[in-house]
Order: sequence, then structure tokens, then C-alpha cells
Amino acid sequence: MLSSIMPTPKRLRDLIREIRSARTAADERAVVQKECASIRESFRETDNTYRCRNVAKLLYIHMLGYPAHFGQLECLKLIASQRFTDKRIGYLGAMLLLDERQDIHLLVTNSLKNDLSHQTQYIQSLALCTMGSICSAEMSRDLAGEIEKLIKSSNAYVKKKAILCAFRILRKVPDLMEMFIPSTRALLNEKNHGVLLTAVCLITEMCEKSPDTLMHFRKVVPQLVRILKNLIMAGYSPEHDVSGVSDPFLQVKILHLLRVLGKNDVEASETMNDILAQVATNTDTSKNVGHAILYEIVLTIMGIKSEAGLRVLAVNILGRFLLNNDKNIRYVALNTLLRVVNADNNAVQRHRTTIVDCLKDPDISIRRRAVELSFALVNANNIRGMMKELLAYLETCDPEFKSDCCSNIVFAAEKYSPNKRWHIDTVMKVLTTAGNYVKSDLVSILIQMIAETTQLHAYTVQQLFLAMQRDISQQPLVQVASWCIGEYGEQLFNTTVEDAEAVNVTDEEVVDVLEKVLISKLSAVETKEYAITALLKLSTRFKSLSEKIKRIISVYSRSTNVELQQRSVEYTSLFDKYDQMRSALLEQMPLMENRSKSVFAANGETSEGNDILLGTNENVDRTNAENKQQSTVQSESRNILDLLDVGTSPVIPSKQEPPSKSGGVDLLDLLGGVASLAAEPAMPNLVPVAPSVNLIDGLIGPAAPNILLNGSAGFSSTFTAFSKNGLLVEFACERDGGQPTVTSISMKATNSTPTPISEFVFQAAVPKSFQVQLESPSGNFIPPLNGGGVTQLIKVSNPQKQSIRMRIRLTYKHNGNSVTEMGEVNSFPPELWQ
Amino acid sequence: MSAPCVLIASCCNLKPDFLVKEILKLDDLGNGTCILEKICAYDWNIETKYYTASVQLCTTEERTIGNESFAESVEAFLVCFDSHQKNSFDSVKSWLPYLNQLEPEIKMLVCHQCTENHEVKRLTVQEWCIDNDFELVELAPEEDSDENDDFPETTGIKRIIQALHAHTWSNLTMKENPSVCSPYVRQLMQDEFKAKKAQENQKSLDCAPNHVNKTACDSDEENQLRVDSSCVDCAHSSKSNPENQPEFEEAISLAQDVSKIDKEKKPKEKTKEESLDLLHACEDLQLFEALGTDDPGGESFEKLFERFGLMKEKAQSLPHQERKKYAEKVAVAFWRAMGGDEDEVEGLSETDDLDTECIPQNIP
Amino acid sequence: MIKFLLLINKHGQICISKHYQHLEQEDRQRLEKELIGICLKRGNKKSSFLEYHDFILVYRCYLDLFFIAGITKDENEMAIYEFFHLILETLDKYFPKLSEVDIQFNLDKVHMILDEMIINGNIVETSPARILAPIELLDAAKR
Repeated sequence: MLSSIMPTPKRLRDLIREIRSARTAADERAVVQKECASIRESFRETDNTYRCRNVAKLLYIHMLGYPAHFGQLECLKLIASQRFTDKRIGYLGAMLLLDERQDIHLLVTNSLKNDLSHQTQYIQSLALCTMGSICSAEMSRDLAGEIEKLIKSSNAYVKKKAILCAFRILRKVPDLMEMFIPSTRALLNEKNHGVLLTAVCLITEMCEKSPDTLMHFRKVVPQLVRILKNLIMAGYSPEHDVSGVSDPFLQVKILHLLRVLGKNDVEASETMNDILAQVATNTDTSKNVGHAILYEIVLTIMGIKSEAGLRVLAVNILGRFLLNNDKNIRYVALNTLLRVVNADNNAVQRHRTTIVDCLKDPDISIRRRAVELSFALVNANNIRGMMKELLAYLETCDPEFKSDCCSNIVFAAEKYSPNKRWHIDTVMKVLTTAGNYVKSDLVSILIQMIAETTQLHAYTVQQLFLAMQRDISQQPLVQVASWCIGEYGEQLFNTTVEDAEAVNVTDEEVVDVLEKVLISKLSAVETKEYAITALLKLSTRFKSLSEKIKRIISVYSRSTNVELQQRSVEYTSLFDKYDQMRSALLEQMPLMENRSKSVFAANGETSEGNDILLGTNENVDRTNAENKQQSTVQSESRNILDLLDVGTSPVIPSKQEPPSKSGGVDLLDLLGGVASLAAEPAMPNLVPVAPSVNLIDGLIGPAAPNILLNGSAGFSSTFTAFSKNGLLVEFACERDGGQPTVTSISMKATNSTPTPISEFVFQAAVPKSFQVQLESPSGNFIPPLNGGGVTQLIKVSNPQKQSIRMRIRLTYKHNGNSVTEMGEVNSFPPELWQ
Repeated sequence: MSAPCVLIASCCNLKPDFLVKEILKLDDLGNGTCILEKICAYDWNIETKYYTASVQLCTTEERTIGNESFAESVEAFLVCFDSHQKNSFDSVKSWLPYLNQLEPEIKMLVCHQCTENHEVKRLTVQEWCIDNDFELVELAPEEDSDENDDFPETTGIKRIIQALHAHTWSNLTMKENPSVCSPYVRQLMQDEFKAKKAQENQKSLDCAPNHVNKTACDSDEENQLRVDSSCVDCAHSSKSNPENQPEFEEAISLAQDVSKIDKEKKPKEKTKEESLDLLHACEDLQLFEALGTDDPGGESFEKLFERFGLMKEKAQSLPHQERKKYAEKVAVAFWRAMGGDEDEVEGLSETDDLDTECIPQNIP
Repeated sequence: MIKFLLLINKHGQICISKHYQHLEQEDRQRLEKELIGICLKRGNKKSSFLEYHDFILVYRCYLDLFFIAGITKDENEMAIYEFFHLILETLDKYFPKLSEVDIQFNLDKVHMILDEMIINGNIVETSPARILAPIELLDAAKR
């Protein structure tokens, strides 16, 4: 016999020792390979003596990370053995070594089949357990029959495990459902709680998977009602009671199933109305576990076609939850109220005070839900009270909530404001409270709203001015205020405002505040744009200060910020060349068309959460409306721009329809609206790259070094850094006011040839004692005939205050040729570092 | 290899010695052994329900990893700091590079109390702890009036000791029969002990030499309780030999007696249905059959079964050397659980040290 | 349905990790790490429920252990929160004066207890006596 020739297999201990003493990976591999070979050999024998030893060794090898799948079959043999010891080794091995091979699965399936019908419950349980964790769709099909049989078993221990195994099978193969329905239905007659619990889970799963099954199980509603009734009526049963509540987990599962069955079905809902009321009123809430049941019952009442009275009861349960000390209960209550607030708004309204109190809860997730719910509860009747609370909340709430909170307050105020004055006051409060958290889209919405409220212009502009005077760091406030002051500046001196003290202010003070905004380091560029435009408008309203305003505006023609520079240059030219048109151009804007109220009407139907989105749409609507109205003024301004651009661009037709995308905005821009989109549509038929620069071109032209000294704003100078074959690179240098060792250089490249330059790249290098930083360029395309340019900001830090030297490298494509140019720039004026 | 160490340091005026005193529950430490320059060691014999281990509590005045073999032996690290002083917390942070070398499994940051009002805010500390796998332990935490009164948190020095107890020390010796087991089993053991005593008395009186063997069929309590393995044998053979049926039935009655004991123990809690269910008589005895035959004290099948998935995953995540050790342990445990002959694995445990001496060179 | 159940200590070390829904090893580790961070940071001062990805996170701090579960949105989070209590009571019944050491040195038993309570992510048994019966039998048999 073979076995007689074979040496006795190595002991596990010896194998471990051999592996331990392996010095290299190759050694270790060799040991493993040799052992595997011997194990294989040993498997061929019929003798079982060393089977366990072999499996143990395989396990070791497998865990070391070597393939040991050839042991699978051996495991299967063990599973099939009649001895329990063999079986368990086999199952363990199979769990570890099993791979996806089809034939192996087939064999496992067979073994499982045998063990599922074993007479020992623990072996059955073991097979059920294995199946639960490894069953494939195929295995599910093959063994569904066995599982179904076990569901009918008289042994509760096996039964409950089989039920959940069926659950798993149905997840894998839903079409097996049919065969489980009768045996599952019968389970509801069981007494054992474990069986009932799992059966209810299985039925719920079935009903959620198939509408037909759902129909079928609607018939068991009376039975479920009975079980639930027995549960709550039964006295103390130590086995499943949790703090005096009779099996809360079973109650919760049954209530969940009732919800599934009663959904959209009047008859089923009616059958359960009574028991729901009973559970809702009889559940002991002195312990937390009672709350879990009440929570489930509320969900069920709200989820089915329940009676109105019951729904009120449910909302009241949640109201009581809100008063609970336990944060989890409060959290759940708010979460659930949010789900039902649309359907049962009136019932929820009754708990408004409690909900609003939750705005002060120490737990952020509770506050988050409370604020959402509060906004959902705002209506025309409670707007004043609710806003007071919400504004107080806005003041103290976490920064992450502020923006949305502002927007929601503004929209709620818009929708329900009792009167205009209140509306304006609320908006003012938002602007002064939330400061920089107010979103930028809100600014234009507020401006629109204020413009519409003509009867309160005087009041509004005065209040805004005072607020801005107190604090010029609040960007959105300053933006709105600047716009209003520009537009309604003369109203600041109106002393006939009702219910408010007259503002004691001179026109000079107004201009000073705006100038402060322009100078302030805290001001964002966008805010400065609002301010400079406001000043321009005031030049016609405060005629005596016209010269002063002109001076303030002109300072910014040398600003390194292109937007601001552009405005300054444009506006300055309005004072000089086109002075006669200035006052006509800057007249108060005509009242814009009312926003389409339909947006809000639609809004009322949906939840509050969408407001922000809708608000944005509305904004677009409004801009379009505005656009139509303003087209005359617009074309006029266009003409001026045309004139500014003499000779460098084709003539712009004076009555051109503005592009619909942002046509309305450019005018708003000139008059102080949204700035970022401004320059582009102003010259719709120019090459789109950096059109703003083009505009400056018209004014400054390719000028020679043009040195200006300005005491307050630091030194600045413009000179040519490179000029060759029609490509001109100019540097506008400015010594940084805050950091005297830093020089900001605004590089501008223009092209006077008749063909465009593309793929333009500018690079700069400085000696080691300097540091250079290049911002990203405005583009890489330079239109021909000085029709535009590329700008790029360069920052040179010069801590040792040496004379600045720079090497530049330019690469670009022109007329189909790649060009690389190098140059050295030594003509920086010494004022930049001395 | 030297005994595993708990390295204790301080970044404030709370001295490391203080923690040692508290852990050892001594008023006066005496002089520890100076094992390295500036590192003092105090022996600590840990005794828990499950194991005993001797470890060293080592105090240090400065940041150090000692030497290589010391660094190897550090398994836990405690450091004190003062939440009122930012620089105290900063010096805790400067331990990090050292800890990368020491790689202790347990890391605890100890302070008196830490709240949001302190210079180093509690949240900051807590986040740092989470990021660096430290546990924050306050010696005198703020009173927490939370509802979980049934199972309150352990705090202060108690928590430190508890966490150290929960660590698997490299040199721990598992107790053969851990003193912990379910109340049910404990009751069984007590009863058995009493019965044995009674029987011994009896025996000394009777001087009957063969008593233990076949007379087990008496309704004597001791025999009922000791019967599990023998009755399993009966049950086992009963399948093949129908004539053994009487013995089998006897086993059932014994099992019911077991449930009776249980009932007497907690008469208030147990209902009739429950005790019946608890020992579903006949069927459960087949489990004894399964376990009793050739499973002398090893791990039960189901237990191992539960564990295997986890073991497999764990092995994959380990570095090679540890993986090797781990695989050994699993394989040996498996062998024992299968009821394999002790010979197969005998003498292996002493060779634990081997692997530090012969580390394979090129293993990935 | 319960998607997973974790038991971690205050060190953030995982004592027990049971997943009832397949998750790739890497994702599982990433998820566990994230959750541990979240729970340790939140502590027991904040509400124990948290919407997280596509599930609800429920956690509870007992002794020095955190019970953490991920449940589907149709599951009752409060019931799961109470279920943690049931788990702890059951463990406490089995290990008198339960502490972290008991869990650490009896992971197998804890697994068995949990497996008698939850199968495939569903609660299967809620009576502590019934849960412990098979385990106590094993103990008795083993002596």
C-alpha cells in the first residue's frame, strides 16, 4: 500500500519551526512548496489519520499568504463526514479556503443540504449560519426548499435562524418569494418572540419587494393587531420585558410592518387605527425604550391613511418629545416633525414655541433641525414673532449656518412681510447682524427690493448710511448702502421721514464715508466698485462736491486692480470729455418691473429648503426684466464706450440688442450693480480676451514711461519692458503700501501687428536676493491691432532693497511660427526700492 | 527578552513617580531599579481574571527611547501634561518622533482636568489624541451628570489601570481556569465543589476504592454534574446501539436536573417556560456529544468558527513577521480545538524567542 | 436593517467589528476609522444619531466602550439605541462586573452572544436568558 511507503507527515510544530528558521523569502517558499506537495500526496491516501493535521497545516500556510486552495476538496470530505469533529474542521477550513469555483460550491451545497436536515439542532444552526454568510444566488435556489422546511420546524432555535436565512435568500433571489409565502404566514401563529420578531422582518422585506405579496399580507393586519394587543395587555413577562415595557423590539417591528401594510390602503389603515391609538396612549414613557415605540408609532400614523385625530395625537407625541431632557429624543422629534410639517402644518404649529426654544439647544445637530423646522413654520400670522427669534438666532448661530439663515430670513420676509417698513427693517437687521455671511446674490436681491419700495427710499437710505457709518467692514451692508446712497443720495437730507429721527449729515460727510470705503484695506474689490460708482452718481446729486469726487475717482486710474482702474478711467472721462452727458446718464434709475410673483407662489407649495435655489432663478428673471426696460439708457452708455475706444475697434452699432445672457448686468454695472461680469458685455463684439484692458488702451495708449507720484498711495510707474516686432510688454509698477519691500508689477502685453498672437507665455526670473511670484495671466491670446492684451500680476519681494533686475522670457505663436524671446529689464525706477 | 514596559513621562510638574505610586497603590516607592541612565523601573505584577503578567513601570525625566532593547520592550506610554500651559502640551507633541520609534500599543495622555476654558482647549486635546491614537485620561474629570448610571464611565487612575489591564502583554500567562464565567456555570462549579467535598467525606468513611467509576448512576448530585462527558458518550453510542437507550434517557433527566439547579439559584427571574427552553433537554445533549468526545478543554467549534473570518482578515493586515507569529498561533489553536494530540505542538511555546534571533532577511 | 456593529474602546481600537452587508476590506477600514474619529470627538454630550452617507449612525458610550451601529433609514434609531442597552445588559449578565478586560479576553464569547442576537443584520432574539442559553450550555459542556 502507498501509505506504507509514505513517510509520516511532518507535525504542525515542525513545520512552524522550519518556517521560523527560514532565512530568506526564497527559503520560506521552498519549505512551503515542499510541504504542500507532501500534503497533496497524503490526501490521495484513503487513510484519514492525518487529515486534521493536514488541514491545520494548510491553514497555517494559507494564513502566511500562500495559496492553499487545493485543500478545499479535503475540507469538503471532512464536512461530509459523519463525525462532528470532522465536520467542524471541514466547515472551518471551507470558510477559509473556499473560492468562487463552481464545482466546489456545488459540493458545499450538497453538504449544507445534508446538514440542514441533520437531527442535531446545533449542526443545523451551523449550516444555517454558514449559508447565511456564503450563500450565492445559485446556492439560494438549490437550498431554498430545505430552508423552507426548517421554517416549518418545531424547534424555535432552528426556526428563527432559518427565517433570517430566508431573508438573505430573498435578497439574493427575489423570485423565490412565492414558495416562502405560506410558511411565512403561518409563523404569525407562533408564540416564541424570536420567531415572531424574525417573521415580521421577513414579511416586511417581502412586502417591500413585491406589491403582490403586499396585497396578500394585508390580510394579516387583524392578526398583527391581535399580537400587538396581546403584547401591550399582557402583564409582566420577565423574558422580554425591557424596563417594564413588553418586548419593545417586537412592538417596533410590528408597527413598522403595519406602516408598510397600511400605506395608501384605507381598509388596512382603518383596521389598525384603534390599536395605534391604544399603543400611543398606553406606552410607558418613563423609560427611554417607551420613546422608541412612540417614535415608531408616530411614523406609522403619519405613514398610513389614519384619522385626523390620530395624526394630531402623533404630532403631540412629538411635541412632548421636544420637552424631554434626553437630547436623542429631542433630535428624533425634530427630525420627524420635519418630515410631517408639510402634511400637518397646523398640528405642528401648536408646538412652535417649543421648536423655537430648540434653537438654543447646546447640540448643533438639534439646532440645525430646529432652524429648518422654524422656517417651515413661518407664515403670515406668526412672521413678526418668528423673525424676532430667528434674527436672535442669526446673531449667535454657528458661522456655517449664517449664510443660509440670512437667505431664508430674507425670503420669508419677502413672502409674509406685514408691511414695507417692517420688511426694510428686517433686511437691515440681517445686513447688520450677519455681516460678511450674507451671500452676494442676496445683495442684488436686496437692492432690487429697496428700489421697489419707493415710498421708503428716504428712510432706507438714511438707515443704511447710519449703519455703514458705524461699521464699514461689513461688505454686503456697505455694498447695499453704497448703491442706495449713490442712487438716492439727496434723500439723506429729507427730514420728513416718519417715525425716525432725521439724520444729521452733510454731503461732505457722505462723500468722506464712501472715500473711506475706497481706501479701507478691509474693503473687497467688489465693495470698492460699488463705492466708486456711488461717488460718480453723487457728483450730479451733490453738485458742489463734483470736483472733489472727480479727484477721488481719478486716483484709482492707477489701481492695480483692473476692474477698479477701468471704472476710474471711464468715470474720469465722464467728467472730462463727456461732462455734458454726465447728469443725464446718472439720473436715478427708473423703477424696475416687479418681480414675477409667480415664483413665490410656486414656492409656497414646495418646502422652504428650495428657497435659495428659487431665489437665484428669480434673480435671473429680474435681470432680464430690467434688461428690457433699460435698453435705451444702455445704448447710450454703449455709445460713450464706443467713443472711448476710438480707432481700435470696429464701430459698434448703436442700437444693438444686448446679448440675453448678461445684457442687463452691464448697465447695472455701470450704475453700481454686479461687477464681475461687467466689462465683458460692454464690448460685445470685441475679441473676448481681456476686453477691459482694451478699453484702457484707448485712453492711455502705448504710452512712454509715465511716472506719477502720489503721496498716500505709494510710488507707481509705468514703462516699456520689451518691444519687438509689434509685441509690446509694459510694466506698471507699484510699491506696496503695506509691505514696502514688495513691488507689484502689472504686466501688460499688446500686439500691434495685423495678426493675432496665440499661446503667449510670459516668464520672469530674478537674482537670488529677490523673490518673484507670478499670478496666473488673464489669457494667452493677444488680438491684433492693439485690440486687447494679456495681463499678469508679478510680485517681487526685495528684502535687501537692491536695484531690481529681471530676466524675462516670452514664448508665443505668431503667423504660425513659434517664437521665443528673451530680455533683461533693468529700467525699474529706483523709487521702487529706495 | 526583558519584561514589557510602561514608559511614564511628564511634561508638567506632576511627576511620573506619582502615577507609579497610584498604579502600585503605594505611599512610598522606595528606589526603583535604574535600568538605563535616567530611566527608573518598578516591578508591577498584574493579576486579572484572565491572566498574570509582570511588567515594569519605567519613569523618565527626559525624552528618550532608551536603547534598542528597551525601545522594543515598551508596550504602553503614559504622559502627563497641564492643560493650563500651552508649552506643556507642546512638549507632549515633541514626544511624537520618539513614539514612532517606540511604537507602544497603549498611549495615554494624562492631565488633572481639561475643559474648554483652559489654555489648551479640551476639543483641541481630544482631536490631537484621536489623530495620534492617544486616550485622554483626566485624573479629576468634571462631574458628568449623564443618564447612563447603570454603566458609568471609569475615570482617573482607575481607568489607566483598566486600560493597562485590557492590554495583551507580550509575556502574559493565561490562567488555566479563569475565575470568570457566567453565573450559571459558577453556580454549577460551586455545587460541584460542595458535592465533591461531601463525597470525599463519604469516601473517607467508606474507604471504597472504586467509587468514582461505575456507580455514577446514583442520583448523587456530584455525578449528575460530572456526567456531561460520560453521558455524551452514552448518547453517542446510543445512536448506533439502541440497547443503550436507558442511559440516554438518564442523560436527559440529568440535564433537567441541571435546569433545576438553575431555577433554584434565581427563583425570581426564571419562569417555567424559560428553564424548559434553556435546556431543551434531549437535543441539547447532542451538543455534549459533539463537544465532549474529543475536545478536551480546547476551543469549541462555534467559537472558532466565529473567529475565523476575523483571523483571516487580521493576518492579511499584519506585517510579515507578525503575520507569521499570528499564523502559528491560529494553527496551534486550531489544532487544539480539533482535539488534536498535544504532542503535535508540544514545546513550541518556548521557542517564541526564536523569531527575534532569526529574522529572515529578504522577506517582503 | 443593521449594516454593521462596532465596539471600540477609548483608544479607538476596535474590539468587535461585525458587518452585515458586504464591504470591501479597504472601504471597511476607511469607514471604521472615520466613524471612530467622529464618535470619539462627539463624545456623549451630543445626540447619538447622525445621518452619515446613506445610513444613520447610532452610537452609545458605556463604561469605556463605544457601541456604534450603522442602520438603514427605515430602522428605528431609538430602538437600536435601546438595543445597545440590551446587548450590554446581556453581556453584564454573562460577565459579572463587566469591564473592557472581559471583552478583550473573551472576544469569541462576545461574538457568540452578538450572533445569538443579530443575524444578517436583523435582531433575532431579545431575551437575555435565551440569548445566553446556548453559550452557557457550551460552557457547561466544556468543563
